[in-house]
Amino acid sequence: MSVTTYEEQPKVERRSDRLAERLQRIWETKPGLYGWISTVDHKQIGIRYIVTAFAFLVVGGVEALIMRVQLAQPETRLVTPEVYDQLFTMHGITMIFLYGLPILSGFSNYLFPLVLGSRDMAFPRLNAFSYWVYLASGLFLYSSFLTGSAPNNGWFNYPPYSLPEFNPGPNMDFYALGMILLGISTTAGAANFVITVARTRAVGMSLNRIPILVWGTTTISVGNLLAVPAVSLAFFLLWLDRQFGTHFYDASGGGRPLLWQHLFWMFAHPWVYVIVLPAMGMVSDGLPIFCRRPLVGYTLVVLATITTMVLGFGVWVHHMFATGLPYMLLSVFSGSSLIITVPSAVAVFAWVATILAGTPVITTAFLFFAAFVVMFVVGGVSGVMTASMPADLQLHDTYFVVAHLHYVLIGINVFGVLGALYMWFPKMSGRMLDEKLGRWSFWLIFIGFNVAFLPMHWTGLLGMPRRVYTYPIEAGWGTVNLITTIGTFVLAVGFLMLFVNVFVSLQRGRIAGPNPWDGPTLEWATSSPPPPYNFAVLPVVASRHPLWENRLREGTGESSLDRGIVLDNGKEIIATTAIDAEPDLILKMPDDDPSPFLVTVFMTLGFAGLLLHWWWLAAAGGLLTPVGLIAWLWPSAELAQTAEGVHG
Amino acid sequence: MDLRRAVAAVALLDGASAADAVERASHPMYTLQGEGMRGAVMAKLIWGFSAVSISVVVIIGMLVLIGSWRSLRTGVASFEGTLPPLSRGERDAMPWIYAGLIVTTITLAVLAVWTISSMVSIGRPPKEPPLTIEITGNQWWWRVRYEPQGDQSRIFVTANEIHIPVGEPVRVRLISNDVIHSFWVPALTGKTDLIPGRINETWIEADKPGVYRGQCAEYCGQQHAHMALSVFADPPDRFQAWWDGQLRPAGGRSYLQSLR
Repeated sequence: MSVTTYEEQPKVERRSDRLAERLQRIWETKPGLYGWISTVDHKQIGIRYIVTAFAFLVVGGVEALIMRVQLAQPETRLVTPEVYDQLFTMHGITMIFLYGLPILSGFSNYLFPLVLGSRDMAFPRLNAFSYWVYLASGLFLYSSFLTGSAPNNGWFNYPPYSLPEFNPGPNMDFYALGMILLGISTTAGAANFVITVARTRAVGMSLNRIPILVWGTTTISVGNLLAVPAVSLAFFLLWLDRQFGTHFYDASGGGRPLLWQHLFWMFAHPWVYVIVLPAMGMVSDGLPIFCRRPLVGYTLVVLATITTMVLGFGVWVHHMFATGLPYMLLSVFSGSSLIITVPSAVAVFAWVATILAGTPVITTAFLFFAAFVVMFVVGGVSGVMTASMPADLQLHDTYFVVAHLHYVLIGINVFGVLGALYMWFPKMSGRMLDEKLGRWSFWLIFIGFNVAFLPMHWTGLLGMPRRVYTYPIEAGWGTVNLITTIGTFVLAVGFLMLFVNVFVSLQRGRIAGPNPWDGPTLEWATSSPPPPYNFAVLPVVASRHPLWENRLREGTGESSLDRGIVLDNGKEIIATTAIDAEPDLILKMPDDDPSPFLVTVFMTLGFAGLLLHWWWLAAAGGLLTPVGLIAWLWPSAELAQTAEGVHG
Repeated sequence: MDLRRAVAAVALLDGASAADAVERASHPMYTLQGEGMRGAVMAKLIWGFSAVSISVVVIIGMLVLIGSWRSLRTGVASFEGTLPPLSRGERDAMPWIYAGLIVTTITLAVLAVWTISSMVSIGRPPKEPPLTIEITGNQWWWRVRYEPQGDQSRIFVTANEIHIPVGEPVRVRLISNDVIHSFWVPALTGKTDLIPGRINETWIEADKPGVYRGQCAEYCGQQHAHMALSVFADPPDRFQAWWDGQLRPAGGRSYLQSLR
């Protein structure tokens, strides 16, 4: 490498076919198995996240349907209590951990560099790594079914029932180790999102021009970096208690069962916001496109997003109102749990105002987004009810809470995700989803969901506790449960129709073109699907809506999409400053690399060794993992950061 | 099981309104009708919060429908490749957010005050309870120990059935022998957990005689679904008679027999 490379000054040129060809050769993933394992293309990784998360959604859904058949009538004996316990536990783990965040990470992974006007995530190999580890932890958790000993203590897994005295099988070890593994993936992904936003935005994309989806994912990524350590520690201590006889949670040895509850909910309550804020962000970006106007109250919505996450760290004790903690403490947490509604209300009124002040175009995506707003409110107000401590003493651990959390997770996550799928599928595949099938699937999902879960609030008020594998006739819960079961099957048919739509449209859907919905942000400025390098010349933006700015007359100056910085000296992107997004450095990006995959394999083998007590395997995994990391991180001259970029 | 009929019979016997008795009989775990002070305070909160919640959902739902319905009528109902032009609208839409913010904050403040004052009113029993019941959670049954003030000779133990005198607060001490359970009798009180290594306390009071069903509310293992209990609230004289009967050696008439 010559010295001049480090002083490279990027050219500024117009987009040309020759440039595109050269960039294609530089950025495209090699064909074959090697390319499949070693690709670091954020678009491929994003789609993998989405496909994998939907696969887990289907598996978790099937688990739910089995449970709904069991509960449709009193005293049904379709499955044994042991099987039922594993089903409700794995259903929760799957939907909350293996679907809830990964689906959003998938969209964010796919969209981040595109909406930010860049070519890849800041750390492409770390990105591949976080996907592989997510997949590995999902398979690790599900391998428990092969031995008939899946986790069986509910997703929040309270000791002492999770301790070996009451739960001697490997069930809880699968959960403990699997969650530590997943925590590694979440942490790696979160760090990557934060740095990507801070350093690789398009020139000119100052903080007040970032799409809300990006704000949502960045906010929850910072949240994750603070929250995940609590749960990894909690599960690690649990594993020590189980394997080496420590007494962190064991009262008979002087431990405290409540320690678990604090550590777990300190993580798991913020997690609720983690799996909804990016979806709220997608709605905040998507809804305006179909309302044909910018979002009302952009700044307030961004502030509300951040405020929600911050307050989300101060409400965890509302899961513990019945544990006999001091009254004064409970009243504080009851109050904070009510206050957290305020920023959510800001978002809701911003969406409502956008619909009212806009000219909505009723597409399938719009239907999902509009339904999202209403479902959000249902999940929100039932959350307000459980925030009131004396009311919660009745509602806690009943089907009322089950209804509430499904309005949150399906209403605020799934509805947003499905709207986003209809909206961005054309970008990902180059083809439109069928609108007619789309409407059918929307109405089936909407009606099925509400038939299933609206009456479930009543089930809870009639006093049905959660996590019971059956119930007596005289309890009077038969009718409502039957209605819920019928609703869930309608919901399932709606999903089936969605998947049919995806498969059919992939083959025969109408060709989309770069910007089928007339969207305002940078991902719509490139072809559908985008080339491996995303943008031939790196765009410079001068407003929040680069593709709308001429028609809305906003911003200072004009965004430049066809003429911009050319970086074609190997894989390169531009680094910009954190606040104002002024050009700063040229970043050299790594080529495809199999080491993230290999490190994941080594690490997973190590975890399997810990699970099986094959200490030699654990030791081998423990030794090979750092070896793989050294190979991955071995300094390479081609990756040295170079010269300052153009200023001005 | 004829628990249902027994509940209805006892309730009617003592002059409760027929409608309440029927509701309690067909849904013994109904949370919206308190039969004692704690249960009543909680039920009132849930009713009030529900009313607010339903209003909010209806209002927002209507606004979303109106916003979408308007465009159905202006002929841009479906997406056919042509889109209406962009516009910021004629009027500033921010007042929607400000108004929403103000209304939400005021409503929440009122609800918070109501919540705290309810907490205060159920925090302590209205007078020092003469009777303490110690309940020990076990997989999957309840051990119940009666401890009157003073007289040690009248202590005794039962399982899964709790008798209390009507109109008097009773202190409930909750401990666990194995895993976490939760004591819950919806008509009388919400949940308090039984946690190993901890002693939790709550209190209950029944306003009128009856049989109130309860159930463990914290997942505690395979037969969690069947860890039920019943609270029999008796007029004080009948309660005393029952207690005396419990202290007699076996062979006497059971409580249910004595009811008939």
